[in-house]
Amino acid sequence: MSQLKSERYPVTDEMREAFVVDIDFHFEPAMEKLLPYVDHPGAKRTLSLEDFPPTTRYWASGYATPHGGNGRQTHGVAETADDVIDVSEKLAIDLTVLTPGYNTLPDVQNVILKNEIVRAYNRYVLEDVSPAADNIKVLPALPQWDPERCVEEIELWGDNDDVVGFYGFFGHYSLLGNPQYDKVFDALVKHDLPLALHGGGTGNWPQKDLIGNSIRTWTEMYGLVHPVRAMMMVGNMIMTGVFDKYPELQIVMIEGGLNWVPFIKMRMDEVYQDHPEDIQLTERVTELGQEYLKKQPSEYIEDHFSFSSQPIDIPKKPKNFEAMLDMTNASESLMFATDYPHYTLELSNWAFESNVIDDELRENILHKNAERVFRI
Amino acid sequence: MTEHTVASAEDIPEGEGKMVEVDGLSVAIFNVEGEFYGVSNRCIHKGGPLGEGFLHSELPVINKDRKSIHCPWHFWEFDLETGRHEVNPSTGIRAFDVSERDGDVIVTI
Repeated sequence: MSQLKSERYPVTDEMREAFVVDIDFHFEPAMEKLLPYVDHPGAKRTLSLEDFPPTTRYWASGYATPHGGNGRQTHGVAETADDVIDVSEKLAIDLTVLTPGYNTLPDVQNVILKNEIVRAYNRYVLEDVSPAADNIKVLPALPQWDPERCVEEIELWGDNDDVVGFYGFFGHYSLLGNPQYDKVFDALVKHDLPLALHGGGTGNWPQKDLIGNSIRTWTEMYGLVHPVRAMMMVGNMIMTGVFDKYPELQIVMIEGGLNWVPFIKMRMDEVYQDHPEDIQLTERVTELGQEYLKKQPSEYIEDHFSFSSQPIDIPKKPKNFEAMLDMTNASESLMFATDYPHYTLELSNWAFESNVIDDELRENILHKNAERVFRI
Repeated sequence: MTEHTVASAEDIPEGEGKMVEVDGLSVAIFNVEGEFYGVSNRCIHKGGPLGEGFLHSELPVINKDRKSIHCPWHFWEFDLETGRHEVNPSTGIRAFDVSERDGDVIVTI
């Protein structure tokens, strides 16, 4: 299986010399790699015959280009440890955090099949892939549709040295402020691990919704849906008191964008200060017996959230870029990511090409922030 | 202005491209229906190598007449004569004066 479709990735000496951690390297082995780890006999039979279980078709970026495809394997596919090592070397990545590539999985209707895929994926990646190299770390998949199963996976793998956190979604699933997820947060905090949340879901916005049924373009679907969902997830977790109950919990938002962060910090603070009383009607804050949140919403964003750099939309004017980095608290919250092998791939070149990024900020973005939050 | 012979015309078949160094610049040369064009090899978007991109005329597009190049990374499309981005003409890449003479491809800078 080819990993990189060509040698078209100009990597400079300074990119190679820098230590770079990639926090979003999608690892997407074919079903044949997972089948040896599938235990359920019926699931093993069906997955071997039918491959990945059906769901609504993924919205394809190919509709918006003359190149076709769904954009998810534009730059190849990594299925083995050797693939990861090879691609990482070519892209000047020194430490690779593997993220599951199955972003449509939560939409699969059959719970047994998707539970078995998660179980098998985590076993394969942690038993056969990450042990091959010290610089491969893993965000195992969480079966987010079932909090009890999430806890099982966290308890099973949480003490593994290669596990640096767990991987869920800010797609169109229950927002994680729902108290049913407290047991998941309990388990994460117990193992001192962060939760990484990535965009996901088959259609990104369900068609059976007036907004979803009105969307026509990839610019709307990819460009706006991920950030909107990411904003809603951040806001919901804060306003339902997740971080008052779990002051150690860290969340890493992957591929949701960055430039909206200053906006929601100011917007949420403003509205909350105007109208704070309904905070007392949320389940978790009621349980905690608090009248108000302990901090302003913007403070929770700064204290509990990090953001992947990909996709980074750099303002044309350097002074605007500098302000954006400052307002998003990038020196402490921004983590480099490639999004390999999706068409939206980014290399680290942008971090070397702007005169508003000094050496200290560059090091924080390229590796230090990730090392701190993921306990690498 | 200086003329630089950068390749033999037969080295760049119709529908293909080649990256060359000219005066310290990385230039992507393309042969579109026998006409040679040259643009900066570096995409202004994320730095992708345009010399390994896709010629518009070789893609299953509606308007085959457009002479442009698509970056291989994120498919930004630039006019080969002007360097302008096809969707946002206020931005673009550098386009070079390229000609063919006596079987040589010549870039004038």
